[in-house]
Amino acid sequence: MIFNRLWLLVLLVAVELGVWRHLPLLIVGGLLGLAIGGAQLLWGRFCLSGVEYERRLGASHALWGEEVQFSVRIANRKVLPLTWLLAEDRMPGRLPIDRAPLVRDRFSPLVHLKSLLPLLPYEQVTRRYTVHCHQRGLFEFGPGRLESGDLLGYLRRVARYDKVDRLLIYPKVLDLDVPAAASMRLIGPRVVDRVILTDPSRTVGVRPYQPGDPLHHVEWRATARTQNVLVRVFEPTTDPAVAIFLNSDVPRTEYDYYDPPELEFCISLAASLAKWLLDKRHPIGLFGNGEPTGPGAVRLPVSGGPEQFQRVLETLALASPFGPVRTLRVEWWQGTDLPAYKAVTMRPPMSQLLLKESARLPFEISILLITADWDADLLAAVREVRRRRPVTVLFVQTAHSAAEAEGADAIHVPYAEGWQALERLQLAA
Amino acid sequence: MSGYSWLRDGLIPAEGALLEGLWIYAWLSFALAPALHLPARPFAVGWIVLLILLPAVFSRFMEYLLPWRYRLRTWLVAALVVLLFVLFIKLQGVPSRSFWDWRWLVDALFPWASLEGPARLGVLGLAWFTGMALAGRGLWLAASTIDDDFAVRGFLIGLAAFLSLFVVLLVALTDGPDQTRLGLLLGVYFCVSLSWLALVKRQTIETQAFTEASGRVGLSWLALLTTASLVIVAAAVLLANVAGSHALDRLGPIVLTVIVTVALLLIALARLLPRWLMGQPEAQDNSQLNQALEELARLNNGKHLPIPPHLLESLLAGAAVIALALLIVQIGRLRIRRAQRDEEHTSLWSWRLFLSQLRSLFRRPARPHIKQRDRRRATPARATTDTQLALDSPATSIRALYLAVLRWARQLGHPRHTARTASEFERELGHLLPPELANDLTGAYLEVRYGPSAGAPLDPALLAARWEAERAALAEGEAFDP
Repeated sequence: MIFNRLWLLVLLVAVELGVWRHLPLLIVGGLLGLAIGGAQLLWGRFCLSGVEYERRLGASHALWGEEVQFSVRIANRKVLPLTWLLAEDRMPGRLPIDRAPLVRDRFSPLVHLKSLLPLLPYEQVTRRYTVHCHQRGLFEFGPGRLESGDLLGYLRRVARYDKVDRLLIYPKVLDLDVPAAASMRLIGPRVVDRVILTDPSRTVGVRPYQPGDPLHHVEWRATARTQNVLVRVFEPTTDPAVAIFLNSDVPRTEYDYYDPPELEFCISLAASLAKWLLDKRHPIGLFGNGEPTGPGAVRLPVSGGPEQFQRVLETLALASPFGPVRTLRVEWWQGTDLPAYKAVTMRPPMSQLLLKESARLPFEISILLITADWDADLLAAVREVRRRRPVTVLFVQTAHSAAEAEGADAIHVPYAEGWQALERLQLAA
Repeated sequence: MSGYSWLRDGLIPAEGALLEGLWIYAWLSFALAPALHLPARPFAVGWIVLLILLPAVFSRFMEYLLPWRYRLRTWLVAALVVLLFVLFIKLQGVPSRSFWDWRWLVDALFPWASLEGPARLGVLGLAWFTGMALAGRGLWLAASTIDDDFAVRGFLIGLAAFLSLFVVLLVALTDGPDQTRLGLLLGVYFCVSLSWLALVKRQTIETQAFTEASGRVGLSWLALLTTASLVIVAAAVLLANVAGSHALDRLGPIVLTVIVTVALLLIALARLLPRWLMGQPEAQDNSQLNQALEELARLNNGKHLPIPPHLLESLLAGAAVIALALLIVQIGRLRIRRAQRDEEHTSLWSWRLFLSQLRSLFRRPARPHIKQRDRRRATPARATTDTQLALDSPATSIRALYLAVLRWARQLGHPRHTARTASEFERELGHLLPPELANDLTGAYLEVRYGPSAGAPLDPALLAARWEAERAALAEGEAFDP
């Protein structure tokens, strides 16, 4: 308030004195002051009455590279105009939003969309923005906050808008040229170079009967026509059901920050491989060594169902590279008893996860490991698993990783800066 | 200083100087001069304002123009102040002396050695002290940061000066002061004050919201503020009239002055423009002007209108400045509009909505059950902003406390997903609070929600106090964290 109680008293005394001594200027002066104070109280009481704030997000899910429309509607449904209304809405800082006045907090990583505008009586303002989906993840828009006050801005009122809108952006999916994964499954949709076991549902021709051939393989119509006993020849096939293992450990020389682009590339590679395999009707599953439980966990059982790709994309979109957090008590300074707490992420190593999860998988499922990090433990784990099932290693070569995954017989995928602009990726064996 | 802002470094100090000049002029003209037996209104209001305004604005502009040349800047500002001071003494203190008569310089620099007569010496002495004080105030204003506290203080000092002047005039002087002029000064003071306070506060709000003020004045904001200011002034005048002061009668000449001003401006433009544009010879008589003045004087019952001299020239210059400013504002507005194509303004006005609001406003007190319902609705809304917890029932308070903790965590960017249980969220809560407190809060909530456990029940008030203390400590830590 501009006027405190003492001032209000002074103004009242001035008005009374003016009325008593018939001095109009004193009355006008006092009343002008009181009118300003009254207007402050009036606006302070009713400034946020009838004010509406609404945020609309054009979609709840989006593919990488899509544009999502986002609008904010602010309305003043009352007679009193507002000389200023400050609307703040929390925005995802990592997403570019066109023409949005985004302001970063000084002391936190939060980003706010701020609008300072006057509103006439019964006026409605709608502002439209475009969100460019160039980051994978779950992004929250909101909560919001409205602030207004008296005409001059010396009295403030705040209201909260708790609604939160969420936008899930799937990882980028590339078109792949990739050799097929090996499988131990005996029957499936893919033709393999094998002669012992064949798929009886796929007849590729006939041959003369040989002793030992089962009678239900005899092709009777061909036998009748040729007058020689002929049996059907079947095609040998396999069904490479694949479990994709995604290693969240990315070698970096700098400090570890939230979204290393190399990890994003690995996630994008996993999504692309999942699509490639599902397009060929191979069942797939997904396992990662970030969060073990919760929405950020990467753990999807093997399936070839029609909704599997959707589930894969959602899992990868939400994938959190961090493991469970432990709070450790550490000494604040050597030689003192002052305690301090340090939060440490305990991400399980991929070697452990590989051994643990592969033991639970069905016999015929192959493993496809995507990793940018390579060490002796992981090599040992891969060798151990290879004794029971085929393991294909896709080694993403970054600037900080090893020259090659020694002893893994891996497919090398060179990481390139600006991979986000790529549409197609060729993987060489 | 981050670049020159015409608003922060130009308009706001200029308005501040104008406000100070108004009440100083009022005191000098209506209290000091009569008390010292000097002629009424010894100095022009423009000079008093200029003495404060020019050093303040010029110094800020120099700071932008010559940021690294402190010595040169100081010399330039000092030269301007001396020049202003000397001109003020010459034009207001000893106006009768010719420019070519060097003795006015002696009057300006050594007034005690002046050769002026005793009647003029008083004005000269007052001019000397006034000039010194005002120029000093201008320099002080140049070095000050004009924030909202400064503005409120300045406004209240001015208001106090006006009110005390009225009381002094009432008590000390027998002759009634020129109420029309004083009323005009007071009205201008209030209107300019409102715009000044609002401008300064807007700068503060913009700086707090966007870390930097935009340095622009929105036209709709300006229009709203002007309308509201006029409504406030009109309401005060009407109330004063009701109170028996007949302020509306006093206001008549002021309104007529405005009408005359506009009429003179239009007539002058009509006469001058063809001459300027087409080279037509000047009309020989001022019949149109005289007719207009006579007509307006007749409207005012034959009284003389309080029109100051040289009004026409001042108004023409002012009109040119205003036209230029409007042109600049219009261009800026077009540019902003081009940038904000994605903004849509619509009106929600309808008589039905307005009448229904009016009806509900009058109906509400007559229906107590609606009030009760509203009160019931208002309680949780208040609880969302208020951290004070009602600790009547332990179960309710623990739930409320846990809800408040969740809300607080969400504000810090750690919302609890609906699929996560309280136990799962405890780990994340442990990042924000000490793990023991997170564990106690979660445990207490689980007890209330799912049944008691083997341990001793926790005191909700104690738990709430611990959380409040921890939150306050964290807030302080954040505030001082570079």
